[in-house]
Amino acid sequence: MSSKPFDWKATPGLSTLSWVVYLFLYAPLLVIIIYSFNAGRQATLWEGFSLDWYAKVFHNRDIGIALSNSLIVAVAAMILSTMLAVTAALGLRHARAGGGGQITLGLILMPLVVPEIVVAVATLVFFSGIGLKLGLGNLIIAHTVFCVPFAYLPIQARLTDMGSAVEDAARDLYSNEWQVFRRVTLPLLLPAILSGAMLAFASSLDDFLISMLLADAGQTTLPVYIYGMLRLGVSPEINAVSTLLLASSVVIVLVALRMQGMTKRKS
Amino acid sequence: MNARLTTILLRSPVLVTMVLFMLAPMALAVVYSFMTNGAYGGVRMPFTALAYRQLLFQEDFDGNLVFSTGYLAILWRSVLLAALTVVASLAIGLPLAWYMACSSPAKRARLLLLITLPFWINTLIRTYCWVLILRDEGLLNGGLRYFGLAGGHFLYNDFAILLGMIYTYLPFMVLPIYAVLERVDGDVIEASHDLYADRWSTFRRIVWPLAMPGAIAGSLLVFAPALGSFLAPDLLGGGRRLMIGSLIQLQFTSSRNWPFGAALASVVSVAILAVLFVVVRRSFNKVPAR
Amino acid sequence: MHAHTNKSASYRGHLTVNVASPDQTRQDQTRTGSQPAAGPQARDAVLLGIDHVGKRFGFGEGQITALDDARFEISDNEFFTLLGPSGCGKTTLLRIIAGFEHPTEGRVLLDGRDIGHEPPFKRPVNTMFQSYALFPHLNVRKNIAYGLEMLRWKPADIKRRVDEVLELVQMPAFADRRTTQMSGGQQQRIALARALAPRPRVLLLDEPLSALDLKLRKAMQSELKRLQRETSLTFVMVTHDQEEALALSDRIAVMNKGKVLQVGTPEEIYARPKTCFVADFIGEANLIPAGLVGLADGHTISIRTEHISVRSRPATTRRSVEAIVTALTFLGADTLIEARCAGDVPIKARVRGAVSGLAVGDRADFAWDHSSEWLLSE
Repeated sequence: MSSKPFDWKATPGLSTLSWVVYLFLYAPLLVIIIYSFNAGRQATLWEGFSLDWYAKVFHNRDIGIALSNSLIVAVAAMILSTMLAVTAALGLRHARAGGGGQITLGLILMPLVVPEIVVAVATLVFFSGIGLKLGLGNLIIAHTVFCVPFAYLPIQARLTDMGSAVEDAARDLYSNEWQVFRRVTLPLLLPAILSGAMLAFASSLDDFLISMLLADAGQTTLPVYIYGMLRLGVSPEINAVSTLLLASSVVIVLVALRMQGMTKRKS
Repeated sequence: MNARLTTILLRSPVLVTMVLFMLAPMALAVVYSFMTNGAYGGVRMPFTALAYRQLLFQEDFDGNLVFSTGYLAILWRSVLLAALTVVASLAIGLPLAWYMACSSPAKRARLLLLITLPFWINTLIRTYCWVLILRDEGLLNGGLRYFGLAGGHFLYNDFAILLGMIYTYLPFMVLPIYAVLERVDGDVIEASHDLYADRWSTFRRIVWPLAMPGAIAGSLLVFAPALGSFLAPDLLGGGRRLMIGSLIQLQFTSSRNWPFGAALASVVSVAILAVLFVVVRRSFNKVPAR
Repeated sequence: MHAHTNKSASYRGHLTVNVASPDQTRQDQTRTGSQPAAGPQARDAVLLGIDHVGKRFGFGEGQITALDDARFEISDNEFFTLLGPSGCGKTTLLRIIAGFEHPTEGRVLLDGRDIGHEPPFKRPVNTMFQSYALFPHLNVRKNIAYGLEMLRWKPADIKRRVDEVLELVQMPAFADRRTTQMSGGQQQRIALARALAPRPRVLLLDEPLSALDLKLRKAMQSELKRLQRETSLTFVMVTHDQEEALALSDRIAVMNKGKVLQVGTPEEIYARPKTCFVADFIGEANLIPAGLVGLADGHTISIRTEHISVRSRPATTRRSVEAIVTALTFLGADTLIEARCAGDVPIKARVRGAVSGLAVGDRADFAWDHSSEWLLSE
């Protein structure tokens, strides 16, 4: 009689399991954050709170250069990939299954399936083969390519959600195609475009392997620089830079997802 | 302007970009794999299959070809570790995705956010976390010693690599399974219970078959990057326990053997495309979309 | 309460339709005080007892009462309907019987045994879901066999039973079809077959006809009635459609705001509603303050729209009120005349055929026989 009522949504033990999984996902990140405030030289022995390592990071000229390289590449790749993604999403909007659109879609999504190392190697081979030496430009091109799917997906999702009734209404109210785009489609799409752009930015910051293989001296991005520091051994300075990079990625993505959420709630 | 022309104009920038900077480089990599190794990196003529021969055979002191398992063993290790990553992520991800799908909408959104967030954090940093925890002077050993237990060497072994890869790729498994399970009509689950099926039977006979398309997609999304994984074997395997990803990277840095590196990359791509082709065809034949 | 002596019956393997033994029968005591109407078969044995069942969600201030002190009994072999507007608690009650919700008060008695806290997979009760809830990855045969496999029937018996129920729902050619390729009406028959296959003690139907178009709905109505007669099962249906309830049911429980207002045969509920809500919800009734026709104040009389005739001159022998016509709507077979009488009380009459010589704004006399009015005490 007094037994707990049956509820298929509450499988015993699952809640505990997911707590453990989330702990597994986040505890290591917490470790790095906590140790970035460690006063001691030893990276993993706690010797009191301090911001010294952050100060050291801010005074490190090489880190500054690497950061500015990262930002230049990320901003440029974000702008280019978002422009490509917007045109692609509009162009593929009425693509039929099995049509030519499928091939374009497949190409857009390809960077998601091909391992990073393969993309990195192929791009390296390609740039050296055609003798393209644009400095950071090479990095920007490579980043643009793998950022396209991340910018594309939220825009495409929004277009599907939106349907075409509102645009038909605008046409019915005497708008020509350009006016429909300018006054209806674009404003409705804008949050998704911004969200896609930020996700592209975040995935550019996320990259390490492609940058490592492609970057020449003086084009080091922040993750590549961190990797170089790691080769020299674990240090609290690494914890501090990593925490900064981690925090900025999280902030960017949270803002991007919030924007996406807003478009969903509105519709 | 007619609609057809607009469509073509809208599609062409992305099409040109992807063909030029994604497809053409991959094709060129295949070409490079059939060329001769340059002295200081790069390649030169003539065309040869030497790189592929190197994969299977070695020259001994007399210049005879001897079948060698060295590189094959690395390939096999990579496939095995990637497969184990898939299995482990599936074992963790399936119940987690089901838990998420069963939660209230508000809780779902939170859980979903927490699963996606790590995906956007730099993989280098995420892998480095485990170095801090697992290394000899790391947190795990510190903790063990604190409780008076004997420490051990946790870093630089296959288990560490596996752990790092599961940690990196788990979201890729959870998300597609969740996406499928979220759309399952709750009435269907209730109908199963109504027809005398307990939790386990319902999971086995209804939830798992319905989760299958997501599980297939998730397995692909985990397997492909795990196979070419570089950071986990490099940082957690100590660079000595090679996987194919780190082997490829070596060919373009210290080993300076571009054709061999390109050949390895081509083999990985072909392997993944083959898996993709088989799985997509099979799942299209079997499971129609809802 | 009525204790059924057949407590030890193993419900999990309940493979045979039960036979009510006459010596166990007792008179059905519905709280309405009305006698249960004798159906086509004798169905006196109490099968399902809803005993002071209540369901509250939440605690304290925010507590919501979805179901309040429901009590009635359903006999073996009865077609019973829970009728009410959306949010009246009928679906909650159905889910309590099925086992997907647990009552916060009271007992659910099946053959005299409290099953209120058993999980749904341990109850010999099957549901036909409103959304059909067919398993999308299984074909028709596998869908129907599902419950039987869970009850560990022998494969040969399962095959025979599946063929049998497919025959019963007139879909024998569909055994190997995918359910996703079928029309709504076909899916519904399969859902029905799947719920019937394990021979449950009670079959629950959740708004079974709501998703069908009008023509299909009529066909399915008579189909449901036929199936209930042929299988001699107890059907409990939930609907918001009073017409459907009147056409199908042996007895109806009318619900509103979590309360069971009246339980009775369709005739009783139609002709002798107990509350204004029931009178208004079942068919079209006029609710007129008794004072308006010279009866005691504080009461309400209910008259069906079709029992009112409209004349230009008062008829002395009958009950009548004077009213001003506000709308005339031609409905094909009938015309609906809407009007307002003294005190702005609306009154409606449905008269046969078209109406001539009457226009909006006219003053007319709405009259009815004493025998067709019903005094509501509420």
